[in-house]
Amino acid sequence: MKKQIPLLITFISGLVMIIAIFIPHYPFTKMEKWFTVWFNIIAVFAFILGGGNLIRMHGNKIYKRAEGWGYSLVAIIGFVGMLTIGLLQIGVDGYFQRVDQGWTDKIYWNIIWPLASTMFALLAFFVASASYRAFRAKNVEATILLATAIIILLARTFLGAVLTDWLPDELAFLKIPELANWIMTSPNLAGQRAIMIGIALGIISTSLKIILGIERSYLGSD
Amino acid sequence: MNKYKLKNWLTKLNMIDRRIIFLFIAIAVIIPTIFPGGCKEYPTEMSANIYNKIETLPSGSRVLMSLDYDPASAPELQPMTNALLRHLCMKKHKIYLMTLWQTAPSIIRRAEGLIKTEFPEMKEEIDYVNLGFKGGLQGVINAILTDIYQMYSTDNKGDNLKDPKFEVMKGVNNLGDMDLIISVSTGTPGLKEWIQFGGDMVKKPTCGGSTAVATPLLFPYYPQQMFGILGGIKGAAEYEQLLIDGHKDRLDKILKTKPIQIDKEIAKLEKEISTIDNEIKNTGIGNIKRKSVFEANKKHLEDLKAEPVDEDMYKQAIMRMGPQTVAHLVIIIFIIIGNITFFIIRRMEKNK
Repeated sequence: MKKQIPLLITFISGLVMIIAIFIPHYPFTKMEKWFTVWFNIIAVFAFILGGGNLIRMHGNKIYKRAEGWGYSLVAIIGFVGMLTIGLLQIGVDGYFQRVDQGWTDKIYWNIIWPLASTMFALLAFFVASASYRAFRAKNVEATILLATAIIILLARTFLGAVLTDWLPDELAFLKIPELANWIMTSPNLAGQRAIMIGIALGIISTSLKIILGIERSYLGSD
Repeated sequence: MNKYKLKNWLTKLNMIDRRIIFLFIAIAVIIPTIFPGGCKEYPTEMSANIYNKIETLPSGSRVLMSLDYDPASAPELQPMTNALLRHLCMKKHKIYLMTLWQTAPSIIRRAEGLIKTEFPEMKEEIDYVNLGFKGGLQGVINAILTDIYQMYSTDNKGDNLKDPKFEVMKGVNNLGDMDLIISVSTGTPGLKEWIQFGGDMVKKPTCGGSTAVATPLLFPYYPQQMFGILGGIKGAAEYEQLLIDGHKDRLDKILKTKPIQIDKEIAKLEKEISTIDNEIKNTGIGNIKRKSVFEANKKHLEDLKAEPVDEDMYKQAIMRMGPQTVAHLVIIIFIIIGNITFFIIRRMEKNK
């Protein structure tokens, strides 16, 4: 029964969700709504599991004084600190503290906001360094990639329009913004659609295997 | 310089220490930030599609705006959120603010602050509503597809959405009752999920904004399921330019009235807080949840008061194009240098 029940739940949930798309009438729509709401409730419990796992993993590192245990200590202090402030309603006069109130709000604007923006901004440096090393015209494909990158880089600034504004109307398609637009809406779009369809087919295949009980890795080991 | 020394020097340049590249990028970003300047932007088809759609929708149309991003992407996405909000308010559309990200409720409060201080004629509960955050990722979109009240029984302050005072909710039962869906997003759930689970299911026009890195991934949905997208800070700058070209007078009027309006709103909130405090004092009962929302809003407006109110206020993205332009130029120059050194070294090795 340890395996049968989860397989049955998976089968019924998956089947109902699929049927609800093709037969959008009672009782399938009602069941689809129930399952969606139940999914949201279970997702909240998953947060608790995730939090517990975080403490266990980092706690182990601190206990064993493994490499980088100092960062684990910072992670645990941050996690426990925010949890304490939220649960004890620190800085809020009332029963219902939301994420945008009290000390939670102060920490959000004064710590999370600047730190998160900084981390994302660091990407610019790594992109520049990677571009310098990666964009070399070693062969035809690399040269096309290089030319495309330079056109897009210029098009994402006002220079792109200014540099080729002088071109006559007959050659308007060679203006950098037009070229960039064509690159994004033709070859890029075609490639992305192909990848997306491939991924979608893979998802359908894996989902069917899970629903039918062929793929059971989600059940974990015995 | 003999050939050996030249080759040595070129090889070093070809494998330049990345810290030197970091330094050049840092200088390229810092200098235009300290000495800001913006140039006229030339809007593309994508931005113009969104602008024209909002411009031509009948006044009072229902627009659902989902702000699905976190502080990491706020420098890139906040300017486009502000520009879109300003445009929606100028055209007097009904706005339904919400988010699927747990880090975004404070961002929605910023959006509310913009509406209150720049468009005082837009009344909460009549012209716009803050539905707040609900967990469940794209499950929320699935749920509001058929019944919005299944997910949202109250607004952000805890007031019942079925109360008659919520004129903005009249006739709104599900996502299909919206006239336009906008999602400004950075990841999952975001614009892609709004297209897949929302707009495409109810056949409503969907558009939005995204970070520059995520925008190419959304192009497959153009133009059928998504009629336009603002890509990164460039997209935001293009939209701001369109607003300046189309509504300069209105924007200049905001500059004059905003400081006065901020003071008025703060006074209004102080009065509301004092009313609730008196209720608690006299009867022992008061809407504490509502009070805490007002206090948070008041704090935000006090922070807003400290920000300068000038032309740069509605040109945030245009100003940020300066550092982006210089940084891109630096990257292009490095790429060119790298290729020149690569070719010279290869030629020297061939001629050996």
